[in-house]
Amino acid sequence: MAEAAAIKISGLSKRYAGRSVLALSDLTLSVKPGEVYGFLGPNGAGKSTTIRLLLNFIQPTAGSAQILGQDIVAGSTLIKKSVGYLAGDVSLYPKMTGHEFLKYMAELQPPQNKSYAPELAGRFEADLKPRLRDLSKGNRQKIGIIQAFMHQPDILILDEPTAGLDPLKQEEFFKLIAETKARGGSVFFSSHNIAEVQRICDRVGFIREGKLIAEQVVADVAAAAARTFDINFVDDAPRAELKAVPGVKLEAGTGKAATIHMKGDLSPLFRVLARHNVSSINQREVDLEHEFLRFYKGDGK
Amino acid sequence: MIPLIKWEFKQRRLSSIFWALGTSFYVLLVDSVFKSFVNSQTVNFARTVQNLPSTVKSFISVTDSFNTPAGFLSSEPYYVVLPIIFIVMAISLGGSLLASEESSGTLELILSRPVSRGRLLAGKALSGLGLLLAVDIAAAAAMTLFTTLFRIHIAIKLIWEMHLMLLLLALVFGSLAFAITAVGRAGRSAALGITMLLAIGGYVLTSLEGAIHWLVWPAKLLPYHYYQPSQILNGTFTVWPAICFSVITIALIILAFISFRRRDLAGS
Repeated sequence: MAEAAAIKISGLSKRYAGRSVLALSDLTLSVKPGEVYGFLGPNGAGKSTTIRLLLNFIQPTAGSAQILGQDIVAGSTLIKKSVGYLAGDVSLYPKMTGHEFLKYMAELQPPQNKSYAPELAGRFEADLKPRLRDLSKGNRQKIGIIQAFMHQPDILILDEPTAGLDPLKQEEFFKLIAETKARGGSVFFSSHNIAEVQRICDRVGFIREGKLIAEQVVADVAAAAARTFDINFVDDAPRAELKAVPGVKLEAGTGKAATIHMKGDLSPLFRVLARHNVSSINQREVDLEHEFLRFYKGDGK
Repeated sequence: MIPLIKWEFKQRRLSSIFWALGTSFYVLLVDSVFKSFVNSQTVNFARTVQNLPSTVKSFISVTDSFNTPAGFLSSEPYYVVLPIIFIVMAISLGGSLLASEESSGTLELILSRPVSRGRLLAGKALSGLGLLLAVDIAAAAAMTLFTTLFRIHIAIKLIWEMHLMLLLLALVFGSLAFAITAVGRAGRSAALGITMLLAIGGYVLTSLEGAIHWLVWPAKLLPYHYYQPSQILNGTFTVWPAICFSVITIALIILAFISFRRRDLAGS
């Protein structure tokens, strides 16, 4: 039997009052348990609308969605027992201290493990003493992340979660995502940052103008992407032979060095290389960013 | 719901203390001048008021007997100033309990927890009621204390009945502001504007209804028409206006609940 989806969206659409254009049009996707799903798209593409629909902050115009089998409208309160949420532009109570704020959130939803929020505060080096209005954006973001993770939810819905975090705290955040995934939790998060999506996501959905234009398994993108080799020969590079290898694209150049991009079976390339004296060969890391950008810009399909 | 009420009280404790202190100070001021007012100025003041045009007179009082405790208290304090204080506080509370959190985006934080919209609304409404009640009790206690201290002979029961009516009148306006913010995304300023207009317009219209006859019927549609401090302080309190105010308040809260349950929240 197929495993039930953690998040299942079917034909979800949203038209805001007074607007003629759909902000989200017929979105269908699903997120499996234990999966990290990245939702990529430019500003105004419909990422936040999708997230606000999932959390029942706004009502769908058409379609439906379930989280852990519960309808997002009818079962909204029940769903939120298992959901952690971080808004794109995190809004906190300016007069409260970080400590007061987390206490308030814990009173609204008592966590099973009471020591986890202080542990997270320690990991993110979050100062909980000052009033929230006195904190920088990055420090407010840390508090936002703590409140989203503090009750160890099964589902995390995160809108641009690393905005404002310094690289070290971004690392800590990625660890937190990995821990969530390791205990079977699912993560649905929107981002502009292709590099972070590439790093932590299992699957990526690309959204443009309210429509899901493509979904890719990150590992498949890597497998399908052209591999790049920098090869140095003892003598001049056999350019004509290299060019003739099926699937090879040779970069322009002269002399002993050659850079080639290749898709598919590598055997024909190595047969050519075997006939010549090769001094070094280096495979570059797959440039997923380039692959993702094709979708991001709308020419991936 | 308890954490919602607790934190709302905590957030608004300072402003509520200032409202209570300000109101109590006003009560002290009014009560302290009663004796000297009665001894030296009542006759002249009553004569002056008698000679005023009825339209002007109606803005000051519903009674001409300023030299009695009931007459004195049912004029400026309970007819004008205290209703204004409580209505302004109620409108400001009702218009901000939901709207300020919605416009700042913190409403989404609460609703991302397992808190239903109904519970959120009930928590907010009860917080507003509790804060208003606390200030009203402080004002009633101050009135009880200072009327005793300055020997203004009026039954304590009548003072507390007066403050119950004051609270119920304020709640009508507060719940209207609350309902406006819950029904639509018009926001705090729209709620304040509409409710203030109704409160001030209602006061003007009701004050003039005795002098301008065609205003009698429109005035009957307004809460201020049924707010009669002289009747209460003279011991002829009838429960019907109190029941009407309560029913209107409950109806407005129900309207707020029905509308808020399924509407889109404004983005932060």
